[in-house]
Amino acid sequence: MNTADLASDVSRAAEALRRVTVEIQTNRRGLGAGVVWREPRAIVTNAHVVGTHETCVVRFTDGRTREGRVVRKDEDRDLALIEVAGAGDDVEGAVRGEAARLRPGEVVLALGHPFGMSGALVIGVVHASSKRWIQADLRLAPGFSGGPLADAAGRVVGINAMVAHGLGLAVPAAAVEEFLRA
Amino acid sequence: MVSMLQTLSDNLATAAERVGRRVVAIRARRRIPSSGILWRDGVVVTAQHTIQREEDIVITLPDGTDVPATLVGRDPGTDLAALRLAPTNAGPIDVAPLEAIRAGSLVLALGRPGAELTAALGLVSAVGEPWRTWHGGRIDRLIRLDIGIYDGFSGGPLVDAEGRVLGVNTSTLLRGAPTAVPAATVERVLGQLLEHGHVPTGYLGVGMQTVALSEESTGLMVMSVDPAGPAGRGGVLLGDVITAIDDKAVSDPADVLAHLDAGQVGKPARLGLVRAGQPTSLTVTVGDRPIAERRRRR
Repeated sequence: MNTADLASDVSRAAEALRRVTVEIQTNRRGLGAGVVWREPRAIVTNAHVVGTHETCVVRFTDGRTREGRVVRKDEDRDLALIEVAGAGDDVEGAVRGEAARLRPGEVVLALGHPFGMSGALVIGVVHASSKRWIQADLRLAPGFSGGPLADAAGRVVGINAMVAHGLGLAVPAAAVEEFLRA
Repeated sequence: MVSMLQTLSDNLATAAERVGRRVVAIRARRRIPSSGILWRDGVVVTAQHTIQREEDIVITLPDGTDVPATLVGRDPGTDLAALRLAPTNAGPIDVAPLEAIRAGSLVLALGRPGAELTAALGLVSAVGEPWRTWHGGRIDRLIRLDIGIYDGFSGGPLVDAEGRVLGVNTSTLLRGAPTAVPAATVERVLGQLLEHGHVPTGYLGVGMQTVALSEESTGLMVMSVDPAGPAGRGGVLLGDVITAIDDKAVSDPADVLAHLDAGQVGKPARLGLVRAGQPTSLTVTVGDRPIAERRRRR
């Protein structure tokens, strides 16, 4: 195995994730992340990222910013659906992976904006996976909330929501879609 | 095209899956079960400190069935314990040789703190020399890990990317830092636990302190003697200065401990002494450290 190839695979995956990850800012809180979902077409983040706000600023990876409207929230699943008029239509949307097939030990990537640093990548492995949460052994920080958790092929398998006992907890993609279609 | 990253990911998940078939959950403490490894058919190895209850131990096998288990024995020195259960048809375990454990290797720590297998990824951060733990256990190599410690870490296997078992993880041998007891040590200790129920440790029954005999030489003055112990029965007296065991000079109690390791129990040991200023020697039969003495060293 060639480690240079491995490194370029990781940066390619990070690049693909950056294209579908947005920054979400409300006037009160710090920076959160969001994902441009492909099917159904929407921007999804954590409910705790938008809090009680009805609007937020969505910043795409190319620097464009638009006002987003919080359409729907599910506090229990910690998900929020954000609508942005007109902008980002040219963004393809995240390729979805299958969280149900994740195996412990499988490599996962997370992208977020820790402490205001835009588009930072962390890498780790699946610790355990259930219908409710994907537990990942990787080092998340504030600012990863609402961002993508992806498999080694760069497919989004979940939305990072919190850290518990040192493990990253992500809402599985199937649950995200269920929320978006509701 | 399958990328290198996907290949690595597949290898790690396959390694976890393969060894995961041997990883069991042990219910021998309150709240969260600990992890164990089916090391041989019908024998589970785990971290000794996680066994807080010696009766009514239940093991959950990888297929989810619960089976009763009995404690074969424990060795606080290496933090290992062995449990016996009904045969499970576990094939031979694939362990990596000591030489294959290298600093920088990618490793997985597997656990089963319940029904589900868990994995964490990290590195072997250092491989040290043969090492004697603070509890007196002999470890073939000190393996330091850079890895997250989650529920079920201790007692679970350390696995390389090829799916070989490098050792048994524990968080207690090095002040809470993650380490693994290498498979070679596990094999040795397991053999002794299965044969004796404990790890026989050579015992003389004397308390010693380093003293200077001259400017160049030091010896060990006998400060206390267990009259029923091997040295007491062999004629060693308070105030004797031990200078050698089996013609090997000793100047620190640790030298004596090192010489008294497992293999010496029941064998004669020739003690070089200085008694009342005169060199002399005595032969004693090395005993097995009594249980009360072992407990004191936990």
